Amino acid sequence: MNPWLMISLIGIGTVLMRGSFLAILGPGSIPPALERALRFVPAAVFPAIALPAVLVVEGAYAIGFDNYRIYATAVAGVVGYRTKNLSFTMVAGLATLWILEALF
Amino acid sequence: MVSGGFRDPTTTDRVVTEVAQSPRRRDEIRSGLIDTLPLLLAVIPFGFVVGVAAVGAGLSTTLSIAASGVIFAGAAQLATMSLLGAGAAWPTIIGTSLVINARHVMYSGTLVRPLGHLPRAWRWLLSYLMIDQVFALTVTRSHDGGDHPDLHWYSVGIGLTLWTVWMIATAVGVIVGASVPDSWGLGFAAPLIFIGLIFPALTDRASVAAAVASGITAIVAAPLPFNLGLLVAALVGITTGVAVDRSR
Repeated sequence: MNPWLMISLIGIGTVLMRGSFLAILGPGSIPPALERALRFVPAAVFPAIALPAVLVVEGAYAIGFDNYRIYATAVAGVVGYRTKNLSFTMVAGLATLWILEALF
Repeated sequence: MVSGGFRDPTTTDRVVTEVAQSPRRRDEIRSGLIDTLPLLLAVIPFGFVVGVAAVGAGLSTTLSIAASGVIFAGAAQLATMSLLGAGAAWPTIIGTSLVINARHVMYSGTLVRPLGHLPRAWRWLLSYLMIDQVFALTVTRSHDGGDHPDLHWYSVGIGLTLWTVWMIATAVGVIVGASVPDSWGLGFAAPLIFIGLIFPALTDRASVAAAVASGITAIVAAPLPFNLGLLVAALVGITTGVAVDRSR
């Protein structure tokens, strides 16, 4: 298959999924039961993106004391909880990781 | 971007004037640009990696760069390039990318409430730009208790900035083969974005239950192929949230 065609099909499929409710079906397309469920999308999606990226390294679980990302995530979590500020959270997490890696 | 913009020069002038005259709109754009800055720590190195991967998969320079504009989804692009490089069959490659991006259907449904009232051209533009980070910041702002009738300007400010940076970073990856050393730990910046955005999403007992259930499921389901663990975890989290909500 022509690679241009393949990339285009993936792009079209992606934009159709992103536009499915917002641009194609539009307001009124969401029944109340689904609306109640969609309220939980942020709370249900953000941990599911973040946690595997912390605890799985190169396809294998890295759940142990030698995974510095775990401590860095804990520090970032506390800062995020206290400040609700994304920049502070990210700087705290990265700085913790850098300090631990420099020390040990 | 807006149809007829080229034929009617006054349209641009009017839009520019409207933006300048509306302090609320200007605030939304400015907030969007400020909130985008920390995301760049994650997006720039990821763009390099995707650019390098595209060349490595045997795509031409032009297509490697164009793919970032056509697909505009980091994880799906990376998967496409690795599968292409491994010589996978084209239905596998297309199917995998689309499964990886299936979470965007949930995002799309969630955004109807805050953005569904816009003209259709706006909704398509925002749909095209709606990568994880744009969705995450948009939905967080829509729930922050403030009144945001110009939320779409916030989203488009973030989306266009990330789009531009993504194109440049991929192009640099493609042409220069640049990358950031792993030892800088910037691969950790992406999960940190979502760690930071979890707390504003926890508004009641049911949403906390949704987050805990989803987090545990995501860890257990991480070995599933095609990023399916993310979809499964999101569905388990949403179901848990609804169940706890109903039990009150």
